[in-house]
Amino acid sequence: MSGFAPAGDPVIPDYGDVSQCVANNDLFCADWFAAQWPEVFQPALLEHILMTVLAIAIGFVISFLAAVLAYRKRWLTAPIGVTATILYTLPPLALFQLLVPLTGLTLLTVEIALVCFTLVILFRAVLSGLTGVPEDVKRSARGMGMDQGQILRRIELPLAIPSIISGLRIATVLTVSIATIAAFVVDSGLGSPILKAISSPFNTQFIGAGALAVLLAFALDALLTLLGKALTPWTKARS
Amino acid sequence: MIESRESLGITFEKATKVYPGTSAPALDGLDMTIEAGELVCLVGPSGGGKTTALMLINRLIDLSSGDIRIGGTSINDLGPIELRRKIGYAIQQTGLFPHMTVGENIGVVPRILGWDRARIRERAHELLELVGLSPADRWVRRYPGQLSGGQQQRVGIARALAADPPVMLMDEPFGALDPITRTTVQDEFLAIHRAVGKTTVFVTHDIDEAIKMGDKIAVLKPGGLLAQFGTPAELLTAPADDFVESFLGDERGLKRLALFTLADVASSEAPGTTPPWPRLPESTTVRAALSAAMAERAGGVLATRGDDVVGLAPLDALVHPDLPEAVA
Amino acid sequence: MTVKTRSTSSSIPGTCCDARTTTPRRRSPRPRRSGRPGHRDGLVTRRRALTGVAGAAGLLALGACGTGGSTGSGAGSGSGAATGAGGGSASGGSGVITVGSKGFSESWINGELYAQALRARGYEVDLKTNVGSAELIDAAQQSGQIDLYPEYTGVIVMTLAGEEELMDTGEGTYDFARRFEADRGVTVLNATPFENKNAIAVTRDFADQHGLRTIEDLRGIGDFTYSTYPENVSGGQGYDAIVAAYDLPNMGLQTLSIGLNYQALEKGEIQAADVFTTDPQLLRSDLVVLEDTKNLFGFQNVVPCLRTDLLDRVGDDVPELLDTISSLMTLEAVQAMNSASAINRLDPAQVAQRFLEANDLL
Repeated sequence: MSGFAPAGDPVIPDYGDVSQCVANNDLFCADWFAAQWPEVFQPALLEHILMTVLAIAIGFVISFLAAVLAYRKRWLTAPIGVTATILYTLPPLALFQLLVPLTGLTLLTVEIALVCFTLVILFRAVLSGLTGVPEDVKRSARGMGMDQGQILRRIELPLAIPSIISGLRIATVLTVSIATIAAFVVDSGLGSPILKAISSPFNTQFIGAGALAVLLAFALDALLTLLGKALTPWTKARS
Repeated sequence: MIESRESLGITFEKATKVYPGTSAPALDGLDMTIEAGELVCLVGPSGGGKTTALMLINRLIDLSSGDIRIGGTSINDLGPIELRRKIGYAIQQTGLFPHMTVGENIGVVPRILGWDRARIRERAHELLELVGLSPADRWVRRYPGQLSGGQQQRVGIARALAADPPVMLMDEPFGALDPITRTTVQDEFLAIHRAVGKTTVFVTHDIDEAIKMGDKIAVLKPGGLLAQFGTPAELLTAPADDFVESFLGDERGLKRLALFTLADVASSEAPGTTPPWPRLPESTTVRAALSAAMAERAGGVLATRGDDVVGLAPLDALVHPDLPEAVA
Repeated sequence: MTVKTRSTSSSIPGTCCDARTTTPRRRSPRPRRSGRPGHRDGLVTRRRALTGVAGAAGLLALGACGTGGSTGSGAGSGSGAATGAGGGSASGGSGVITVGSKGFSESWINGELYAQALRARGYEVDLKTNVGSAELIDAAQQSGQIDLYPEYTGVIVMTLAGEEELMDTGEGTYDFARRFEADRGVTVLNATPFENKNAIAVTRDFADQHGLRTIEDLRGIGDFTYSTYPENVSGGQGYDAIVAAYDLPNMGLQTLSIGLNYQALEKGEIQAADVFTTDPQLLRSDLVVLEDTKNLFGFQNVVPCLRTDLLDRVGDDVPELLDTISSLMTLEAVQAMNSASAINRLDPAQVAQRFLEANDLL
């Protein structure tokens, strides 16, 4: 068979000039960032949003069900809480390492890990929201002939919303941050440019991606705050 | 079966409750019959089982032994949920659902019962007018957090009345109100009670409230035993035992005066010879009238109806009103 | 395969990055680094450790999948399990070609070149960037999680085959690598004209002053200082080996973190330095690379390593395309691409895309 490819005559594209800022590796080169936005940072940001939202959504569903279960069967609170806490205290990279044999270097691995980190926060938020409903209110509801499901849907859950929202806010900010580490598993999200910037210290890439992650965290936090206000009109209606 | 839109009597038959993990009963063999339309106050010290007795009626807790019948039907023959939907229930103001508007709070049970929207809305307006939150439109969309304590309590009563239940249970409903508001709400509730005639079981720790509100009073003592069950006058004139007597307090004789009004004791003297005594409406209790006379160092009070003096009540008449039997 | 996978992976969590980086280095001058200027030790070390973790995890995955999925390693049956568990494997007959790349930027660009060109030919490609070291990505390929990746011939010989004795020629190295891989179900296509290997560079002034052309010429010129990174002192291409092979008792040692050697050369703090032949900094500095007449540094041309079962599945256009790409990867072209990545700070995907566009491959 073959051996060495005959040396071809490659056309070497003009990769353009390097601005003084980039050459000096100054703190932040806006020109480079703007040029890289459409191909690097915008897709990374969108991927990051997707990873975060997906993890929060899945984590919320699991935590929510677990919290409702623990609320009904109080003895389950400790085992569920301890499990979630253990998952939470695992270093993210260690968790990735534990998971990869099972799920490969895939988005699935990332999502499982991210979801694991949200569980303890969301579980506690939902549970404390439910247990925080005043006893009188619950007794009233029972005394008026509501069944367990009606009390949960119409009374306990609405009143747990402020606690749930604050849990979601913390979990979301945390997930935005941890999702940057996902780049060790998949080449996706804002962690990807950060990781590449670490391997060849390039400030603009590092700071640009980092700043986007911070802004994303702020933006999602603000959105959740607004959502919380919209869902709890009674809290602002104090005389 | 319990039918709506009428009052039903409640009968306790050796009703006993022993909470799990305790040996002493919280309520011990209560035998008591509450007639349809009556307002009965359950009073007693903490641990007397009065709230227990109330929660047994709508099965928020279950009987250990004995039975309770509502209109002849054992409460155990109905599912607890179905039972509760037919019984009005009001507790301290925090029992309102803070995330629901006034209208939604009142509409909770009707909604569960499947009333249509228009009917629920109409009922809410009707009840708000009844409890004195008028015009209803001003109140219906507010949240409980925007109301004063007294307003919240009125909404609580309206809510308990929403589905027109044959029986009302009220657990210290006015406990969190300041004294002035409390008096007002008590008066309003009495007026409502007279108007709708619901059989009402009313738990309070305040003997004065019980004397004012109750057609009858049941005094429960520690260990969940019924010490006495009778009209306020019967209790005040003939306490069954030392416990009831001490529970009624040192001012038992004075409290008895609150059972009479000026209309009961004032003599219809011809005007013209009116002494310069304090003028009070003839609906004023004798106890209050005596207090007013003594505060003014007067020899008695004048009973008025509108602007007219309709009678004279000298101190002697105030201190010794007619026998209660004659009043009733 | 499974056994190897486990033993490798189990050694990773507990061991330090240094152990991992020095062990393969003793055998081969694998161009693990991008060869960019400005590396700092702490960052580089941490980066390697992390890559090792992710890579090790990947290896574990391969072990798990390999046992279940690739037992029937006939054409197209690569790893249903890998697809199921990992979601990323391609050789399960789905028509997806999974391309991998190793843990440094030259390999990332190389992986992008393959992936983008294949996509342009209508293939569905799943690119797994930054899989990790040679052992890891090789295990990934053996277990069927990766169909195609670029590897260096000397690395195949020394690291994968474990040969202690190097071949005298690039052709010999290539032939050995091809035969070795063929026995393992992997087809090695044509090698690139360019190599990326360790080399010794000196400043032009120093070369002129002493008439230097080869490493041998350094003998007897008087004392001078050579620098390399701390992990590369005692290994097969390390300082000790060079001194022994070329008999250079006059060569002193100064260890410097990767990337600091160019600066030190310019300032005259050192006179010779360990460099990588495709490092863009090499182009920008006025340096002379001394010829390795004893072939101490071996031969490191890049070959596309392709699972043979994939070759059976796809048309001839895949090897033809890869051969075309390889022929275009001259030293000048690769240095330009590395420069675009390291100096212009372009993304590997952008670097590859522009190169492919310029050469009408997109």
